Amino acid sequence: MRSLATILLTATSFCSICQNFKPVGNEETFKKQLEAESKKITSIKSDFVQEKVMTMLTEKIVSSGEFNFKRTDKVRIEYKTPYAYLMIINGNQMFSKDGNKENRINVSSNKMFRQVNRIIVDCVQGTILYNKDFSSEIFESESLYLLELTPQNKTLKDFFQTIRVQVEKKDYSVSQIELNEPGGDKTIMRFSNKHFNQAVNDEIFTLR
Amino acid sequence: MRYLLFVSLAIGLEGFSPIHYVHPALSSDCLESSVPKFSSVLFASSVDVVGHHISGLLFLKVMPDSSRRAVFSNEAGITYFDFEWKKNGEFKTYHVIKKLRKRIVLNTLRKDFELMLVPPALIKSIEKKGADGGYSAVRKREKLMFKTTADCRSIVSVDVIGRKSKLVTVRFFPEGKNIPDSVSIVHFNFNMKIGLKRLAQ
Repeated sequence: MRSLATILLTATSFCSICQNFKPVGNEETFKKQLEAESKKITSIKSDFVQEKVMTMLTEKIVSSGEFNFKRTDKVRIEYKTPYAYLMIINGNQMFSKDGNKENRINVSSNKMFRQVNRIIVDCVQGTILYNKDFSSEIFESESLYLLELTPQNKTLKDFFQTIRVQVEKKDYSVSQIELNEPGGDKTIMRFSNKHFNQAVNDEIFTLR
Repeated sequence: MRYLLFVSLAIGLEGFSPIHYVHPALSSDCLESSVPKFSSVLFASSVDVVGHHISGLLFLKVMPDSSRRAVFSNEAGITYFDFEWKKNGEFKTYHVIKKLRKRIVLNTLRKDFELMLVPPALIKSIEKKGADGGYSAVRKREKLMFKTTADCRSIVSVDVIGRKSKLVTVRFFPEGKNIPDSVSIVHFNFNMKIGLKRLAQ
């Protein structure tokens, strides 16, 4: 009975894969609506589970942690298990911390980090469809929008074949980001337990 | 991302002539039993190279055909390289990001991680047991010195010796544990250290 429950739970958690997506009717209308609705979100605090799927090795690396966003350009991604890793984007500054080692990167002077920074911030700000580094296709199902982004520049093409972003229809928040690599591996980041527009202290977006 | 340009690694890895380390014939069974035995293992990794710091995850797997795979990705999941050591000794690169596609960089990474995986072809090349209880092998222009625990349960260290001096030391911790909890790889001919800490999967 327990194994049946496990199968059902697993099937439920992956049901988004089998959602029946079709192209949205009017992309321009959707873009404006996504941007407008996203602007209503001033902060997000959520949990996430990240799953890296190594296709040829038939293996997965699962990690989890906490995600914070504060409009307009502050993001904190904290991996807690099975490893501790912190990444903070605060305007043009990007910080990372692994173990006791801290890295500070001026994003404006580093093209690659600037692009990564833009992808993350654009995804949560709802402006990813205006990012000229990608061409996009937009699909919808009963409960989700799916934004399929294809890199247009060489740097990003080296890392990503496509990026698929799932957006909840009910509140226009991102529920899942899927990074598909040219070698066939992919990383899926699923967000849960989302809290919107709560007071978020600026201090969490700095390294202390 | 310029951290990933290990161009400066192009120091002193060339120019060594073959060294043959000959000792009375002894079995390399002890080394074989000391080699880490796992189906897959995941390490949190940090690389400090010429003043730059990179962190990520190193996933090692022994495939059903006995080939070894090493996949390094950053914490966000993006694969930097995916290497394979086949049973017959052939080395294959499945994927490597453009910034790392430099011969000297790939050679350094391949040679470093090969010392952790000790693929079957490398074991076959082990020559003799030395007077100090170690094993040696010749890898092109370098001599590899393996030291195992007395009970042959685990490898303690591997030294890579060049024509004139020691180039690299790999140490496995804690001593006596077949699959190490942590590993350090230190280069002596240029400033590079790799630290690995095993993660629960």
